[in-house]
Amino acid sequence: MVGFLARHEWKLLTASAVMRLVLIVFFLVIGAATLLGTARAARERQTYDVFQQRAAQQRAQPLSLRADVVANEKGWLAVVPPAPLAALAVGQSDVYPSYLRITARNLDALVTGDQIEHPLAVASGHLDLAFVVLFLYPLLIFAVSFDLTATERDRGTLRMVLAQPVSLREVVAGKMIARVVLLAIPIAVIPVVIGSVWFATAEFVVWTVAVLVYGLIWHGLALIVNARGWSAPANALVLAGVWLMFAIVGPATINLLIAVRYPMPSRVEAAVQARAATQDATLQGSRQLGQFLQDHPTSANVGRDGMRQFALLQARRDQQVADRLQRVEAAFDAQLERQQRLAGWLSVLSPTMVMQDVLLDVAGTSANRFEHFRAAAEAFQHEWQQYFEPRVLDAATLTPGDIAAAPVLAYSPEPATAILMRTALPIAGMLIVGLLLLLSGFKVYERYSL
Amino acid sequence: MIEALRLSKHFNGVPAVDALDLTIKPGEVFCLLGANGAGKTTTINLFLNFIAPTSGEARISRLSVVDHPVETKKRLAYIPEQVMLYRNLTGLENLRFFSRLAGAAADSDQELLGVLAQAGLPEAHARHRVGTYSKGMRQKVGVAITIAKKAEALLLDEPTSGLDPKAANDFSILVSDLARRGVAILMATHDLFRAKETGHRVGIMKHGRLVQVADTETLSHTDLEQIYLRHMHD
Repeated sequence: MVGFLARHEWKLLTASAVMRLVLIVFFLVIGAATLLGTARAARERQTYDVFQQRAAQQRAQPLSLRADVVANEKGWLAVVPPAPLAALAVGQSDVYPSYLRITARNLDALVTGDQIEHPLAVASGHLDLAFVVLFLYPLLIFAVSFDLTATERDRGTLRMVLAQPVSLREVVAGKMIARVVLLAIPIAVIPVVIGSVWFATAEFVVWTVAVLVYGLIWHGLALIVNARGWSAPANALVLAGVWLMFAIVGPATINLLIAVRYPMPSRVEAAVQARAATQDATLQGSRQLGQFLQDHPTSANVGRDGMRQFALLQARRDQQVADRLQRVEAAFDAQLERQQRLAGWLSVLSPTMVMQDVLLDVAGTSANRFEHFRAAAEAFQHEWQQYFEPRVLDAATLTPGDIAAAPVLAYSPEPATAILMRTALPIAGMLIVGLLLLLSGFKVYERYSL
Repeated sequence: MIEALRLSKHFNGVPAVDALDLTIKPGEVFCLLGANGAGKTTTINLFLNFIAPTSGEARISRLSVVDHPVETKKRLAYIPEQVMLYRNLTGLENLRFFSRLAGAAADSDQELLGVLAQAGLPEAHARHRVGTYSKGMRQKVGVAITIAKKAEALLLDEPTSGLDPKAANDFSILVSDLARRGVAILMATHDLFRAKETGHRVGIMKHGRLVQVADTETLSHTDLEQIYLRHMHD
């Protein structure tokens, strides 16, 4: 019976010209977001491939064999590979650097600002499927669900239906199923069709499950509001408020609370501080180097020992820079960690915040992926430094064998299972909340007055 | 058969229906008369199980509507003052939906168009959207639902209110026809003329109580009007 009622409801929904228009716009937005994301991901992959090719060529045919040039001036460019579902969510990829220049001196993490996108683009955000899912999908759920039974009750159609051998619970269940399917199908299917095999992955399955579960929460909220028995306009007003509260005002308030509790400079400010620290240390080091150059006005009288002395001075200067940078970064990272911990607790108050973390994690554009990459790059930098530092201090000229024996960064992103394990808990939490809301909605409907 | 056994419904302690005892046999049309707020619609709501009785029992075909909500609704049809159907669907599509909901056997276009024709709605109209229908045409779809589901009991709530005399007369003929098929009919109405013409018995309800029941065969239109007005003035 519920299946029959759901099919009937589907017919009514799709027969409405306004509903058809709304759905077409929704389909177009999903399609556009997926297409834009697919194009962006393709560009990222292309860039990554070019980087890899150039790096391989450089290793095969180095332009210089001087240790300090190979270790520091050329260094190693560690590039984070494109995430499997990067097309679906920009996430943190426009804030975190997608490559890090590794030298024997340090890891240019915060100061690598040249690759960060234009601030206006970052501030206004991108149209991606994650945005559609997080903000437009709930809005559309409310748009199609604000009048589950109110108008039918007010007009008397509901009395005609309930005079047949069917319960109000079955009628409402049929209406809900039609709406859940009507909106879930495009959001799950269009990306597959447009993105084709790109998304035939375990991550995409988890993405889709997360989207459906997230939808359940909003459908549940809509059900509860409908069950209160208010008029359709009143339902619309209340649901608009609910959307504003959970999707916009709630997350903004939480961010404000976090910022007040743990104020910290922005990433850009941290980069500026890091640059200032670098400049101070460089200036200090430069004075020493200047003195050295005054003492050795021509390269002819430097000699191998002089070169070693020069390298030592440089190394000292680099160490000072690294120490200053580490302090700035450590302070930034510690505060960031405190913020993230608090955000983790407070985000349970907003399904949008929980879902955002899940989507970005599954898409591979969350801070987690970049932190994982950064940790791997740091470990590699130590290897690189250990290998090259003695050779740089010795002012050595490398042999092709030395270069071939140099450490190589073979970065493996976090395994999918680790991401899936991490997202399982929030998805399960959202599922429980969604089911509880739906059950509560049906419970409240038991007191629905005709 | 439609039965009320000491059926009562109180709202905040105030009786809307008070110890109603009533039996309507198959083929009988019982017209419930009374002023606004007398308890007519509450009585119908009790038979539809839309509200729970405070005490007593409402029965359709000897089954309690509270204990057997699905079984009783299979046997029951309901036509309110405004038959509100799905405006975007045709009369035929509406009938198919309601008859399937009721588990009726008739399902093909041919069968359903035949049922609509019996209710007085020709095929040309049956294929139009209900949004274009007059009130009388929607009433006919309501009658068609009753025929399609082979209802044993029919509840009518002010069915001729707002209909022009011709449409009201047509509707009365349809109701009489349903009664001849053996349907037990309870009709709540203000229309004394239709009550006398269509009903076999009339009952006057006041403050939730059935204060008088009379056989229409023994009454003239004037008698019925005088009885009604006397109760209203008491």
